[in-house]
Parts: sequence; structure tokens; C-alpha cells
Amino acid sequence: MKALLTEIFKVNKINTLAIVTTVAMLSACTTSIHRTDETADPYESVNRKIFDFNDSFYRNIGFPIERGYRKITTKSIRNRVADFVSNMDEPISTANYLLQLKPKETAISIARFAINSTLGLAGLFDVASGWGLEQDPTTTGATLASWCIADGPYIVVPLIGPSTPRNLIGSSADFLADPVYWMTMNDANYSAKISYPYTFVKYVSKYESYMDIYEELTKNAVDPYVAIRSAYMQNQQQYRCRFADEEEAPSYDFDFDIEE
Amino acid sequence: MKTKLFAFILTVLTAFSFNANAQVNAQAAEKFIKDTTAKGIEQIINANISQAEKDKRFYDLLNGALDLDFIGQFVLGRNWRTATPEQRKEFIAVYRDLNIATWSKRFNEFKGKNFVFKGTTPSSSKGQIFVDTVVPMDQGEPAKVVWRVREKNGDYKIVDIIIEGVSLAQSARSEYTAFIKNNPGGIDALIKDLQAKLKAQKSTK
Repeated sequence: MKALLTEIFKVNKINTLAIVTTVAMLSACTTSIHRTDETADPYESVNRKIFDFNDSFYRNIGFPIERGYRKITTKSIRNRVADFVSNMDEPISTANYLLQLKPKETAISIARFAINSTLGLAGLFDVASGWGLEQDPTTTGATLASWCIADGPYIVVPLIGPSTPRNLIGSSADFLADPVYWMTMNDANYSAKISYPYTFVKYVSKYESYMDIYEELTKNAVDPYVAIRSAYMQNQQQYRCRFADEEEAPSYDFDFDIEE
Repeated sequence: MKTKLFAFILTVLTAFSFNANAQVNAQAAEKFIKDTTAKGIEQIINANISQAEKDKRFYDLLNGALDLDFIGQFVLGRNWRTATPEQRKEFIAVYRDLNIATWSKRFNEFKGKNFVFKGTTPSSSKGQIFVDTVVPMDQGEPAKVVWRVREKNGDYKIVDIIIEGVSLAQSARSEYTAFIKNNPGGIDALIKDLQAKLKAQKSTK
């Protein structure tokens, strides 16, 4: 364990140098490291149009596919698929925990991948969680946030949904880092046989829980666009810059009082 | 000298007890949330009673535990000041029923799960405190659910529920403010829209 941690720190030193340089360059472009006001929305009119397009795409194509998926599978099968997909993405979390300079989380992520890929039958079962090695995945978006890159304005991306410039860069990086994607580059046969079907299954699995949250948030909303934006931007505020004051109050501790 | 010392002690004591009053009793606040969630799970969700009886019990439980007059006024934001007494009354009434209906349904989906209590966090707002809980999920880390509790005259009420960093009061306030701003019908249109949502929710039960 100790050897592993020393190894991680060694790698970290090199990465730190690279990151500090990148951060210095990027922060020159960003105006502030402060959190974006949840209601600030400079691209609202364009965003609303894309939101309406996405909404009809989800309701007419995406969600019917999800409901079909639920019909032809059992909960246990869906859990196996979700565990498999999560395990395939675990190395991305490992790299990002490393870049966030979180040795404990990095070690857990490495252990999770090792255990689940072997004892978990190629990732079909999340054995590691049962052993107390429970951990949520992390993303490049979270890494950028931890290095104090501002999130930027709220944007709605066609098909994908709510995002910010920071997260769009992050999710693109995560997508390109997926071996299933970059292996298509040199083998056309592979892409048709494995890559496309796998990517399809991966997104069907990932968006399954998203469907419930989306429907729950929009059902009683008088303005569904604002309901989704508010939830997304508030959720984003949990990402803290590593140079920020540790004692900073949580974002939801706003001044909550009324005139009586 | 004696009187001076006595006055000093009295001042310190008064100041201290005043300070103690301003601080919310963390244990009492946590116990209040524990009792409320336990009642919801044991006496309603897991109880062998009719759906009508469940609805009634949920209404009483949530109406007593949530300070919907306080939340309702907060979520209207600036628009509360310009609203007429009738509009205020009508808004609070529909907001109350819609929230209770929504939370009853959410609680129902909670079958077989439980809240794990993780202590409390102080709030910058006077007389308020956060009770931190997590809910174990099928996959990954447990979900974080934080209860914002307000103490008034020794009485505890929930004023906000924060799920994964998303405050329901803040979301409602953003949404209603945007709706009133974009809609020529203003608050009246908002009340009508919420009443229609409540009716739809009741009919799909």
C-alpha cells in the first residue's frame, strides 16, 4: 500500500508541473474563479430552443427506447449492464482522481478496477462496493473544477442536455479517452462490431436513471427549462476549487428568511 | 463592589442564555428529522392500511413537519410584496397541497430504503440548522439528503430539503420568479398553472 502511494506521488509531481502550467494559461482566459450565479443565463434564448428540441427528442425517441429496455430486461440484468459500463469507465476516474491529487480516492479506484475486472467477472458485478470500496466515478470536468477553472455560463447541448463550457470540454475528453472509442481509429471492422453497439448500450444504460430524474423535475414545473437549469447549476456548485477556503459554507446555505 | 460583581455576573448570564437561545439545539433538530422520517416509513409506507388512509396520514405528517407558510413566502421572492392578500392566500394553499402530494409520492417510492444520519451543520441563517443524511442507493455512493430545519419558540419545522446539492426552495424560487416575469398573467397565472398541476396529480393517482 505504501509503495503504491509513493508511486502515485511520484507521478503526481510530474503531473502537477504540467497542470500548473495549463492552469496558468487557462486562468488567464477565464475572468473569475467565483461560482456562476445560478440564475445568470446569457444564452437563454438559444438555450431554450435547444432545450425544446432535446425535450421532444427525449420524449419521442430516447425515453421510448429506455422503456423498451426496461421491458425486455430485469432489474438484475440492468444492474449487470450498469456495473459493466461503470467498470469500463473506471480507469477514467483513476486518471482524474490522480489529476485531482487525491491519493486515497485514486488508490480505491485502482483497487476497484482490479477487483471488479477479475473477481467481478470482467466488471459484471461490483464486488468492490460490497467490500466497502464504494466510490462514485469522477470526470475531467471535476478535475478542471478542482484546479479552479470557472464553469462559465449555462449551455444546453443538442441531445446531451445541460452543460457548461468547462463540463463540455471535460466530457469530450472523457469520451475521447474511452478505449472503445479510440480503438475504432485503426480498425474499421472493430467499430461496426463492438464500438457502435457498445456505445449504444452504454448510453441507454447511463440515461436510464436520467429519464426518471428528468421526468420528476419537469412534471410539476411551471417552467421546465428553469427547473432543469436550476437543478443542474446548483448541483455543479458542489465542485470546489482546491485553493478555495476549506471552511466555505455550502452553496445551499443562502440567506433564508422572510419579512414577517 | 458586591453589587458591581453581581451586575457583572448577571450580565454574563443573560448574555450567555441569550446566546444559547440563538443557537439551534442540534440534537433536538436531528431528533425531529429522525422522528418525522421514521413516522413516514413505519406508520405510513410500511403500514397495512388503505391508500386513502395513507394519503390522509401523509397530509397530516407533512403539513405538520414542513413550514409551508414560510417556504411559500420565500419562493415567491420579490413578488410576495406586490401580491394582494387574496393572491397570497390562494398561492400558499395550492403550494401547500401540491408539495404534500409530491412528497407523499416520493416517500412512497422510498419503500425498503432508509435514512442514515450523519450529524448536523450550522447555518448562516439565524435559528436554522442543517441535518445531514444519506440514502443508500442500488449503485455507487449513497445519495446526500440535507434537511434545513428552523427553530421557532422551541418548535422545529423543515424549511428546505436539499438533494445532492439541489435546494428545493431555491429551485422553486428561480422557477416561479422566471414564470411571473415571462407571463403577462403574473401571479394569477402562476396560481392557475399550479392548481391545474395539482388537479392532474390527483387524477393520475
